[in-house]
Amino acid sequence: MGPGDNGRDGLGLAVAILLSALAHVGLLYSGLVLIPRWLAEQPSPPPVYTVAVVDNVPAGDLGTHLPQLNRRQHPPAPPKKAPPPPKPPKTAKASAPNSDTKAFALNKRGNMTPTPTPTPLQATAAPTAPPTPAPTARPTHRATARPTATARRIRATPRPTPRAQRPRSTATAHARHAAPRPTPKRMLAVASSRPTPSVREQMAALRKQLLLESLKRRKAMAQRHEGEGGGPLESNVSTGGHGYGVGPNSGSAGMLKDPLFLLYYTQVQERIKKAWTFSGGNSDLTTTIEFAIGPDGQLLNYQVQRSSRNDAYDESVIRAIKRAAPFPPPPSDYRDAFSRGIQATFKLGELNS
Amino acid sequence: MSVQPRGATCAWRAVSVLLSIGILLLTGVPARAQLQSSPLQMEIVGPGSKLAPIAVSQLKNLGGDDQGDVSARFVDVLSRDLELSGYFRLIKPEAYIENAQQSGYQLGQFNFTDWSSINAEFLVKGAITASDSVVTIDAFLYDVAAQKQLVGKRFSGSPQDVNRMARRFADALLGGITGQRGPFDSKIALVSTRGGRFKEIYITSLDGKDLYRVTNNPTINLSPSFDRGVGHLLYTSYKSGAPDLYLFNLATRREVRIGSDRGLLLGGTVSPDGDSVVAAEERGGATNLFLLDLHGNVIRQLTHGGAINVNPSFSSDGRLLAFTSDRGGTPQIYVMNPDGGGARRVTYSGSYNTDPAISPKGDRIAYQTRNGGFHIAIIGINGGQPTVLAAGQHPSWSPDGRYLIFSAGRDGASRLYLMQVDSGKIIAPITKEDGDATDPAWSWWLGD
Repeated sequence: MGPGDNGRDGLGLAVAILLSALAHVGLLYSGLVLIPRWLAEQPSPPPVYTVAVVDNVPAGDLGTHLPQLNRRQHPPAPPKKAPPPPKPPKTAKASAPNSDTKAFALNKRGNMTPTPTPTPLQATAAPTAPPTPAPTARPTHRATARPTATARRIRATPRPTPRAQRPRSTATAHARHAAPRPTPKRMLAVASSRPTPSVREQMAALRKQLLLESLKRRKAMAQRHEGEGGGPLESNVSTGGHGYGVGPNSGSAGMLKDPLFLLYYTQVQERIKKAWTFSGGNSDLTTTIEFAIGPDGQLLNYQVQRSSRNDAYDESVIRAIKRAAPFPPPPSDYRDAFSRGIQATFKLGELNS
Repeated sequence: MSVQPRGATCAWRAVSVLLSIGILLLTGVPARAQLQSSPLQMEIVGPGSKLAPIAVSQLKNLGGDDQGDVSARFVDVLSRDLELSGYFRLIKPEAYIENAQQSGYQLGQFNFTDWSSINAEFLVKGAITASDSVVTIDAFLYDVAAQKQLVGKRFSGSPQDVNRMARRFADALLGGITGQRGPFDSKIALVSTRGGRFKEIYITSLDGKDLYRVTNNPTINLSPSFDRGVGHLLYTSYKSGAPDLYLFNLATRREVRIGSDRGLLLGGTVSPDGDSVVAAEERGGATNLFLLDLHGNVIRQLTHGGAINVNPSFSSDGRLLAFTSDRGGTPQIYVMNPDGGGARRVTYSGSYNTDPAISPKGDRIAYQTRNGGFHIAIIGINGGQPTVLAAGQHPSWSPDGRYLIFSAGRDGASRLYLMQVDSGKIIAPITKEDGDATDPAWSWWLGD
């Protein structure tokens, strides 16, 4: 009773709070610093590898490889087409059927006559032609948007040490990416600002972070897009297409922990789901199909392993895989896994008739 | 100084590692991860869309359709039917890359990438040869991703038959994709007040083309029903003062009146073979069902007693007759053999169930139930728990059993709506806001 008691209580409370705070700090330290350090197995690399590290980081891993490929394709295209004008139909079929047919449709005569005129026409036609299917645009956009934001956030924290930058590293990196987007440049800035032995760890963490955020965002997007494409008065019953069922071949848990793998895996999953259309049937329809993805992302082969006994449903699943292909090239570490095969189970889902 | 960024990176690392572990734990991966030799597993639940993108190209003119009018009619009707099927999303022709007249229509004569690049899952192409008297259309359905032909048909007929060719191709197309023939080569009879105050009977196609007016009398015309061969249409009309049945011959466009001097006829239905009708006839306070010949003579009395028995409706094979009776106290759905034997009650839930229609397979009954307002419900042929589908009245099955057409009042006007039965999805209104449309009756297929 009385103020004295209150004072003692207050003191006790303060001590308790202090203790609790200390305990929390300790826990946080162990959780944020000790455990991660323990979890991170990579030894700090010799600084010579910094260049290689930068190479590992590029946005190409984040899904920008397709546009890069495109960009690379464009320069060689005109010289390739210029030399053999006498045989236009054959080259058209061999090299780029899409763009050529487009040009064909736009100006048939120009393509038929082996005059030098077609060259500029094709050059303009090539970029406008949509040979890369729509999905290409999506990952690119998202992947580039994401890193920029986080890169900026990270850059704010470290002091911008004007250390002696390795000109070689930046130069090679620039050359490699051919300045696709501001993203890689920003990340380069991060790398050069902390040229300590932990750069590699940091970059790995950053990469993981970016990939994970991308994953999360994709997941959210996938959920948001569910049930789209309905009719005018469609009931809004829709079933989830989320939840990943990953099971690797090699049994390396490392693969499953690698966001790079997960990101690609999710990308494939989303592409197929998006390409899959089906209406009608019982909600318990299930088809299992095995397919493989080649190193370039092409569909290697496919086989229905367990039929739903509903031909229309099985066919819709096969079409989905064919329409989703070609996929982006798998990450180099996992090409084997994806070329060995994926066992995909297509469930129509409850209430989804 | 250096602790802060270091701490930050550690935090990043920790968060990322924990997140990745969390994701993996959530998805239950590790359990399967141990299977050394099995390939990657993936699960995909539910299609990205229920509507398949389809492109319907104009027909290549092989002669006689220089303006493309006939081709446009074919494409127009086919597109509308595909839209109404509830399976497709039509890609707008403005998006098409290829010019139908400058490219081939058979496998190998055109480039599938022109269609995969606009995301078409399916493609319809074809060719037309037209003269004043004969139109020949070859039409093909292609699977764009597989680059293979799924359906190929040749139709030949008079220029008036082009719409029907399109419907028949729509039916075949649905068959090629869903494994079940579509319902478009059929007719819908309906009662409409369009163009006046009076209820007249019309026949139309599902796509709204080829509207034909059956009655033209300033009275009331009701309850149309087709025979299975779609040779006759039976309806009730007050045009002679009392409600009588009229059997309209769709080929000759002549009709016979089926009256009764014994009592008052309260509607009826034509038997699948078109040789007889089942009519509800009121005599002395009781309303019973009678099998009548086409002159109105009683062949057999099907129900007995003092209750009200109305709304007769045959199954498509003619082996069952559904009707409404209040013999149990409230109006409920019953079925019986066409000879009047074996009657049994089907509905037990709800206190006002009328207008039964047996599904083409004979496994279900659609009916209307009054519960606040009128609703369309479905129940198994042997009863059970009904499913209420939507607000509406007077359901009628499509010949393929996938759809129901019914009337529903919205915004003060009654219109006909098309519904996909299994999904419960209302696809579209079939009639426009031109008077009230009620009492739809969906015919069997017009041909095989």
